[in-house]
Order: sequence, then C-alpha cells, then structure tokens
Amino acid sequence: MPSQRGVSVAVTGLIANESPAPGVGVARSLRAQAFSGRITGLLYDALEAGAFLEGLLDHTYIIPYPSEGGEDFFQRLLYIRENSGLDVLIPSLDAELLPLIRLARRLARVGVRTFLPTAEQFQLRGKDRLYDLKTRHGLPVPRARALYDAGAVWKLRGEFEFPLFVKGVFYEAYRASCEAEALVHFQKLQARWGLPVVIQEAVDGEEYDVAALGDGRGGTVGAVAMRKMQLSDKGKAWAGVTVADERLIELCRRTIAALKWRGPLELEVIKARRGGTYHILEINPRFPAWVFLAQGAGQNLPHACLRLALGEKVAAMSTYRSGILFVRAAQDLVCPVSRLERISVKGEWHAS
Amino acid sequence: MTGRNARELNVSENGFFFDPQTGHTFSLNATGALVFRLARQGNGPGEIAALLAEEYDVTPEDAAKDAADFLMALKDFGLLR
Repeated sequence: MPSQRGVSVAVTGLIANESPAPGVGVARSLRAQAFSGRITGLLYDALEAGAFLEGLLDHTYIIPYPSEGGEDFFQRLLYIRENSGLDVLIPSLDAELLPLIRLARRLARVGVRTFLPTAEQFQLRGKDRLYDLKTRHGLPVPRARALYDAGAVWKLRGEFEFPLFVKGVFYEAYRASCEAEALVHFQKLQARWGLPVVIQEAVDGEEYDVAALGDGRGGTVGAVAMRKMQLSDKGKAWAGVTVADERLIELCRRTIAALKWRGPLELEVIKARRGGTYHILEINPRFPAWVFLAQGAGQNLPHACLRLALGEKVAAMSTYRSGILFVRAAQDLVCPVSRLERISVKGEWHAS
Repeated sequence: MTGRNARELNVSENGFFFDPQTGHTFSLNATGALVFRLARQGNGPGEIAALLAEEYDVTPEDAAKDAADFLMALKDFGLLR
C-alpha cells in the first residue's frame, strides 16, 4: 500500500455538532491508514469542532463559500497550495459540491485533484429527481414530487397518503400528518434551503445506511452497510452497527451502476416493516459522517478515494466485518483562546 | 457476506447475540438461551418442552406452552425459520 508520502490532502465539513459533517471521519480514516502526508482542514466557520481535535489536522484554513463562479474560493486554494501544499481535495458538504464539481478541471490544472461525479450525475441523484431513478432504472424509490410553490401542498392528497415527508433540497426532513403541517415545513425549508421542497411518501420501517465509493464507470470500489441503532434529535445516526445483508450491498451496486457514480456516496435506505423490502430514501453525494466505521470494518473508503484522486489503481473491496459498532460521543475540547484567534483573525492555524 | 441462517447466530455465555444480517442485538436469559440453542440444534417444540420440564420445576403443560410462545417470538424476529 503506497504511503502517499508528502501528499497534502484537504477536507471540508469539520462541523461536529448534533448534525455532524463527514470531514472528521474522513480525516480520521486517513490517519488510521498510517497516511504519512499532511491533512488540511478547510473551514467555513472558525468554530467547526474538528479543527480543535489534537493530532487530526496539520493545517487549518478558513475558506469562502465556492459560490458565484468560485473565484475567491479558487484563489484561496491557490494560497493554501502555495503555503501548505494541496494535492487532493475531498469535499464533504452537499451544498458545496456542485460549485466544486464545476471548478474541478480548473483545480486539476493547478495540481489540486478531486474524485467527484459530473454535474449531471450529481443532479440525477438530487432529492428533487430521485424518483426518476425508479422510472428510469427500476430502483426502489418511494414516490416523491418536487414542489415549487406552497399552494401545491393543498393538492397532495390523492397522489400521496399522509403522513408523508417534507424535505429540504439539501438538508432536513420533517414528517407531516396533514396539509397544514406540510405547509409549515414547506415554508421553513424554503426559507432555509430554497426551492424546490420535496414531498416523499413515508415508508414505515427500519433505517439502514450504506457508505460507498464509485469508480465512475459503473463499478463499486467499496460499500459498507450499517443499521442505525440510535438517532440524535435531528435524526442523525448516533450509534450503528455494520450488517452483512447482500441485498443491501447489491442495491448500492445497482445504484452506482445506474448513475455511473464517481466518488463518495451515501445511500440512505429504509427496510419496510411489511415485506422487508429496501427503499432508497436519499442518495447523498459524499461520505456519511459515520464513515470512520467503514475503515473499522475493513474498508477504508476515504483512503481509497484519495488513491483514486491521485490516479492510482484501487482493487474493488467486496467484504467487510459485520458486527462492528460505532457509538458517537460528544466531548469538550480544551485549548487556549489564541488558537481560535489565529483561525478567526488570521484565517489559518498550523500544528507546528 | 452471507444470507440469513439461524445457525450463524452465536449466543455468548451471557445470552447476548447479534444478527449480522439485520443488525439487531438480543439478550436472552439462561432459559431463553437454552431453548434457542435446542431449537438451532434441530429439536422440535415437543422435544424442547420435554427437556425444559426435565431441567426446571414446571409441569409438562406449562413447559409446552412456554416453549411454543418463545419459539413463536423467535420466528417473529426472523431468528428461526
């Protein structure tokens, strides 16, 4: 296994609050592989907790959001590359991905590699288009519809049964028992994430999740499935255990093949209480926050992603250990306030 | 990666076991663990009830009812075919 000596990798999504992003899990997975390069944390907010974990990051930089062409973002990455090195970027947030995909070729020209889907692949798995995967590829997806105006909520009955889910186009989902509840959630989600707001049929059952990596040609580089054992108030997995259900892994393989997905992927699945069939609730275009569990079970997906970004060949990983548990713990990180000062005022912090 | 097979479920000394296909965990008391092991060894409800009546201070009728109820619960959880 190559050590990637001297390689500098940057990760985003170091938020570690009650709705954690995957960055910490990605960085920990790289460290677990005895990765000998440097890891840089890219923050949108100075208090993203992953930046304060001792021994995780070599460098930390505040970055602007890659919107409106991403020029400021691009220039910031050039600065980071010049000062701390930057060979590979592994982004972890849904909302930053599309602008980053559009910048990927420009980044590659200056030596910053990524391993991301195309804009078309990215959009095919969007919450507003997920149901097309059922009609076009026969994948089991609950009925869904994208709404562009609040008035459409009153026309849902007939097409959908209540309760149903009201989902933001990037994040958040709420259960609604009637039109009035759906309308409240619609307005909240529209204000936070914009339009459309997505309505999805509710399937009663147990939640499972798959962390995976697609090779971009329809093949699955790796996939690890887990059952959510405990959820936070925000519905995020707070404990889980890896499971060995070939039907679940096969569903993930079919999804990756249908999308010809390139890069990290999270498949959120529900196993129907009646009949035991799996239904795809969401396809997220990044690793899940619990991805560190995958390396614990035998598939280091972030490290495989790094190697693919570097142009190395990675053999498909087809097995992992079931019965490997993760339980998330919240802990207080203590450090001098000068560290926060360096991040928030100077916009950067370096471990040594 | 394998499919469901009750014989893959190994009950620990404490009566704890994990279903690798569904991700469910279970805790059985000593009697439950004994019945589960006997069922997995291929014993039917009648044989299990007879063994329970022999092992514990219960009538054959109570043992038969308890064994049947417990075996039904195991089937409901998909742990026995």
